[in-house]
Amino acid sequence: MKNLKNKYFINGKNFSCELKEPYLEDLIEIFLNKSSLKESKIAVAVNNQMIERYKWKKKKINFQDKIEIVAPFFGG
Amino acid sequence: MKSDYLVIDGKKFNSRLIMGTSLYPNLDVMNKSLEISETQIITVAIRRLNLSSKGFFLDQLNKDYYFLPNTAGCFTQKEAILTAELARETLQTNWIKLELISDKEMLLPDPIELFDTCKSLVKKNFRVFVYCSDDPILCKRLEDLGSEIVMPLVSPIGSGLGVRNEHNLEIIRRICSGKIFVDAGIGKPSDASRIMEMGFDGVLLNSSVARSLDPINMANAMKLAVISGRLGYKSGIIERRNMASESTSFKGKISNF
Repeated sequence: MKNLKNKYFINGKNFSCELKEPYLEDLIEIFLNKSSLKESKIAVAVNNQMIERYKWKKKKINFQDKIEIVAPFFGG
Repeated sequence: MKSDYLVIDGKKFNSRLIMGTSLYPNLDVMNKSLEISETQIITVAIRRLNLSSKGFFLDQLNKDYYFLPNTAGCFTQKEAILTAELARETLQTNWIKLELISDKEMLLPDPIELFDTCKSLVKKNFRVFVYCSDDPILCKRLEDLGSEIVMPLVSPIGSGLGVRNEHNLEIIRRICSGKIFVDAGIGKPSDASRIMEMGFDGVLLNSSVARSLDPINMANAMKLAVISGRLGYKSGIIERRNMASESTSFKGKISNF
């Protein structure tokens, strides 16, 4: 049976993808797949709480969760 | 003069100039400006990942630097702490430049929110470089909290107005025994030099270089200004007098007629 596309909220925008079991690590992988960027230089927060990299694998995501994926940027 | 290293968090630095990485006309100019400034520490922001960008900002730097992530744009303690934690995770550093502003027009630090946030970050084992107003008592209190470096402004961010309250800065330098940098408001190389002559430990700047007509040469000028001011301070600047003091002796003058 085909999975339905689920909607997530990443960096202030809706993000749709198919995930059987929505774990953070998989969601990040799918999100970054659409770019040439690698996950080694990012940090992630879910519902305003930073999630350490080693916890991504076991962190379950709910559809209403607010996910922030950030990286260093030009700044003064 | 003996070696005059700046020691931060147990690490020795030759340069006393911390550079920002924003507002440069392009990457090439930014890289060349950073290089000629001989800075060893650069400050970076933490922002949402832009999937359309070709690469990470960090990959576009030509040299290795120590990173000082900042909490630019944060208005609340919650925002600043989360940003600091995200910065630590992505850059693997405990250093954080704490910026906690009160409004978008003047970008002035909110001293009350700042104090509590600084306290929380120190408890969470961050090395806090705290950007604050030039209030001597606030600076002293932030130092006593355990901030790594206290960094009062000399005028509003990006204003280029230079030193507006030299008297406060003199008091800050006198009552704070730890490392004090100046962050924000520098316009001209002479501002940086003046700060260093007053005995400050270093200068953090961005706009005065990045927005100048020739950022690469301005970065060089700022480097020289910081070195010059520091050398002047360490060499013992003479005391000021209200009256003249002859440099050539009257002794042996031919006559009085």
